[in-house]
Amino acid sequence: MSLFRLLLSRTGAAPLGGTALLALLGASSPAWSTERGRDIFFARGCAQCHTIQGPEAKVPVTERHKLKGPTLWYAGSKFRPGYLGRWLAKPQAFRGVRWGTMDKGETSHPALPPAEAKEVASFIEGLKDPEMPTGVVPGWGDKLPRQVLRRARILFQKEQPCYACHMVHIRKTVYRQAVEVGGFTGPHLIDAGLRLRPDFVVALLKSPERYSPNGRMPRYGNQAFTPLSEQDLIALAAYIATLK
Amino acid sequence: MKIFGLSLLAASAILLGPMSRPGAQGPPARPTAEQNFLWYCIQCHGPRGDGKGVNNTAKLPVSPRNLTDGRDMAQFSDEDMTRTINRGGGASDLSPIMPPWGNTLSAEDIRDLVAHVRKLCQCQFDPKAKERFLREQGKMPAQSQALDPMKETSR
Ligand code: HEC
Ligand code: HEC
Ligand code: HEC
Repeated sequence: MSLFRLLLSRTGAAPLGGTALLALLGASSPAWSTERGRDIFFARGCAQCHTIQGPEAKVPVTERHKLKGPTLWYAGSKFRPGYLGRWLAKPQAFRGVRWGTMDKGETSHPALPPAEAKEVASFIEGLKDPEMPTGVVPGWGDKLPRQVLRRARILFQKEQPCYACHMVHIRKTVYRQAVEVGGFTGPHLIDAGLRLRPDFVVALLKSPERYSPNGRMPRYGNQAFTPLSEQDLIALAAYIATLK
Repeated sequence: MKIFGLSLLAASAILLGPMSRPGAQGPPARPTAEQNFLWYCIQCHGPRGDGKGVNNTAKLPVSPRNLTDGRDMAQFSDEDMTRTINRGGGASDLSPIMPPWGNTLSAEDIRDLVAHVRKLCQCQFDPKAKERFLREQGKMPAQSQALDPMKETSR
């Protein structure tokens, strides 16, 4: 219904012509697709496990097992465009433990038919956090300046071994072959470059209380016990963006 | 109307339990050390604290410590543990695989966690154990016999 109004106000079409117009614009208009995506999101029961409004409230540790899934209120700021459409059509576990537990295994997730996945993705990608700074991490792509790469590796592997909880794929190692190293409790970062926006990684590390108030990850950032500078966070995010 | 509203509120409070009261008064009770341990530390140290958490993989250069090993844990004073938990292993000459929790947990939470670890290891700090372990690592404690001149000035 709200879509109807939206279209009418956009095009100024007479009410009678509205339905025909809808059919005409149906397949092509992104707004239409987003609106359909929203309907599917609720019809398929996604809202039973995912919140789409934020910021997320902090819940005491004793109550966190009741959370049924990660919040999606800032998904558009978090995920790379295109990723969600692919993932929703063919969800693959990205964490080595089952959701909410410390048991090794994979969380199975409902899949959507490809057409619906696209529409739902278009809806979820519209959920952005307007307060999240963008343009923070320079567009280096896979070619990080040497100093940045060096700093990031030292941070990621030595100073704050992120891989203790996040599995990564390392090509050159002491094992003389590519290996997957790391823990299971955090989402794996093996293909994080295809998944996460680098600006989000900086935002998460800087304001964990905003983006992950109910997580298990230690809080880093430029705080009393981990004085990581802005440059450090940018280096980490740019490095994670090269993992794929 | 007022009565209806109130009883509705009371009913929802009963149904939803203490956690989801919308405008609950006062701060929620602080989680116990065990509850914090079972949310955060469990990832590496395991539910029993024996170091067998899911993140303890073969390729980790240093394994999460077995916190139930009293002989080993006796080498750490409460001060050592507080520093390690706050600032991570790197701050205590241990492996930084032990992450810093000072930004995540409050000072009281960490004080309680230290007491909890003491319960897990069923041990007290033993300066001799510390000396023994430092010697094994080729490091002597910092002039433990001599008087610390800084102690005088700070008083
Ligand atoms: C039974 C609860 C449940 C339902 C229903 C559900 N999800 Fe999820 N969803 C989860 C859990 C749990 C995870 C996290 C999985 C993990 O950690 O491995 C997740 C993860 C996700 C992610 C994050 C993917 C990523 O890479 O981070 C998206 C997006 C998502 N769900 C969308 C949806 C959509 C759209 C629907 C409706 C078709 C849906 N979910 C239905 C529980 C659910
Ligand atoms: C003690 C385990 C642990 C350590 C150490 C850790 N993380 Fe995490 N991380 C997690 C968990 C668990 C999550 C899932 C969200 C949460 O629980 O807060 C997470 C989430 C993330 C995410 C978001 C991924 C997603 O798909 O949602 C990024 C990015 C990340 N961590 C980066 C880092 C970096 C960079 C470091 C090192 C500075 C690090 N982590 C260290 C456990 C850890
Ligand atoms: C990412 C994995 C990881 C997590 C999560 C973790 N630890 Fe550790 N912890 C370690 C490792 C590895 C060591 C051993 C360091 C060494 O011996 O060099 C260690 C050592 C310790 C020690 C002994 C060192 C000392 O100075 O007393 C204590 C106590 C400790 N951890 C407490 C905790 C507490 C409390 C938590 C939760 C708030 C926690 N750990 C979470 C990995 C972890």
